[in-house]
Amino acid sequence: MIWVRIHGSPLRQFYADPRARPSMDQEFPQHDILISAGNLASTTTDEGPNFTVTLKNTSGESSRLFSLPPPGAFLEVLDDATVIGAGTVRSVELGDPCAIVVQG
Amino acid sequence: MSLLSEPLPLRKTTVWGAFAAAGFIAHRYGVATGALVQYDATRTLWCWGDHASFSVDEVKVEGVAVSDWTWRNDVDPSGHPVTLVQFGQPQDPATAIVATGRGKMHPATGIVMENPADIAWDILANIAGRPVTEAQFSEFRTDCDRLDIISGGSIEDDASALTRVRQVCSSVGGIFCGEGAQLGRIWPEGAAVLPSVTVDYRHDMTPKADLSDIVNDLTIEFAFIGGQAQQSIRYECADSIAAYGRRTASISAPWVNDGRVAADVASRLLRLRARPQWVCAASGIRKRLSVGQAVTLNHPRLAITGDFVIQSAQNDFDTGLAAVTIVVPAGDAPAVTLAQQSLAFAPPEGQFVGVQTVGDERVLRLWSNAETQTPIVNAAVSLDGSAPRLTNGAGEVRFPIAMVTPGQHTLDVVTQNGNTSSTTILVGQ
Repeated sequence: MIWVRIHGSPLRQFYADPRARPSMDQEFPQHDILISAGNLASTTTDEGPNFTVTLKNTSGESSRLFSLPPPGAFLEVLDDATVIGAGTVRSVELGDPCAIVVQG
Repeated sequence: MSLLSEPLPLRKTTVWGAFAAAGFIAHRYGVATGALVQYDATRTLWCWGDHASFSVDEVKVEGVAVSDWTWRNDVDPSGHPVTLVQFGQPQDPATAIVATGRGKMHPATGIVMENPADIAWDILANIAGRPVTEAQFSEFRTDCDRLDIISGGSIEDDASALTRVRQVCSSVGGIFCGEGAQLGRIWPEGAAVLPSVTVDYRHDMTPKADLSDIVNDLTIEFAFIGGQAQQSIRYECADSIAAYGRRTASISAPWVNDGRVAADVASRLLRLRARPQWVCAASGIRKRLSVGQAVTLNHPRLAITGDFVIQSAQNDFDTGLAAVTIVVPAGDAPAVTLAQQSLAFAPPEGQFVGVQTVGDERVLRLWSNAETQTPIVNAAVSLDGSAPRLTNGAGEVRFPIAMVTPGQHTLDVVTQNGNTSSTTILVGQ
């Protein structure tokens, strides 16, 4: 099951399918607002490899979590306990949905 | 009246009837340094500004101060006031002849114009011929006075009024608000602005925070002569560097001559930019809004509330709706520190100063010639009026660290051959 964590203070964890929860750190809050972990895109001409994680924000769920925005934080995409994607948060846009652009 | 985006209608030397070279006649404000322009065929009379000036205080030929000159305010053949420098001997037009003085005076009060608000007003109203009143800069003027911000510089080319006024404002950490009732503001950390409207759930808003907006190592280049910065000052924010890595930026401040003002601008900007910022684009606001006004933010899309100055605005004439952008810093303003003293890399007489901390002493090293770095030996160096100490063979002189605390100091130097200079230095931690 896919889930996402953003390192920092506090550590933030997001999932879409509750079956991912056993793999998550039980000491930190787990937020059921992950829509998509995105897809890793890279070309020979554009900027470096990047992907966009999207979170629910229809009712301000993400906005409440990100009063202090996480640019510069380390983000990982995990499949159960295996890291399948990682990078630095380049930008966060608190629209509906919330879009987090991550650069490898 | 010219458009804001059109070249400033500066006069050229061709208006004198006889001229050595066709070129713009400069306008000088505050303490300014700029090249003299040959005014007559005898090569003894030279022009410093296209207006009456408060004073001309120093003239240098090829970087060396000379004394065989007087200055006066006069009128040119067209009846226009000019500032002239009269030499005792003809000067070679091929040499660099530069004067420093205090420039244009306020047309009503006669006081030298060095408040950025007065300079911006004069550019718009008296050079560009725009219908702009001093009252439209009153809040900017008051804020500059409150922060003791003074400005100085020259207009030597015909860049547009908009370019020039924005440059004056941004040099001192301010913004030009072309559509507002008030045309200038100090931002960030300017005086509070009464909000015009509340941005809330009724409006569309998308906050965005980008890593590239964070700057935690900021250099201000200032004290420009002939388009080149003569000094710089660098501030940094250690907490932000630890969190986001060192992210540098450099800003040109061609209308700042004073290290104290440069330090104020750098620290104000860094307290904003060293932390993450939400750039919030809000739309659907039923009110005409303009840059420099403020809005109260209380929107479910962002868990930060408060009053914020509008950075950009669009007003749709058809719908009557406005869209604005505001910048909302996240977290508390961080502590910023002076990281590097402002080194005059081409101060008077080609003298250079470096400062190092060794144990409980500050070692000041003086040298001439940027390339060879020739030590200035046996020079008497006085710090803030202290008893003079002599530089050694390496051009070094030592002072207790207690005498050279972080901040601004005055260095008076008398060299072996009797040349004197007084330089302001800024010392870091």
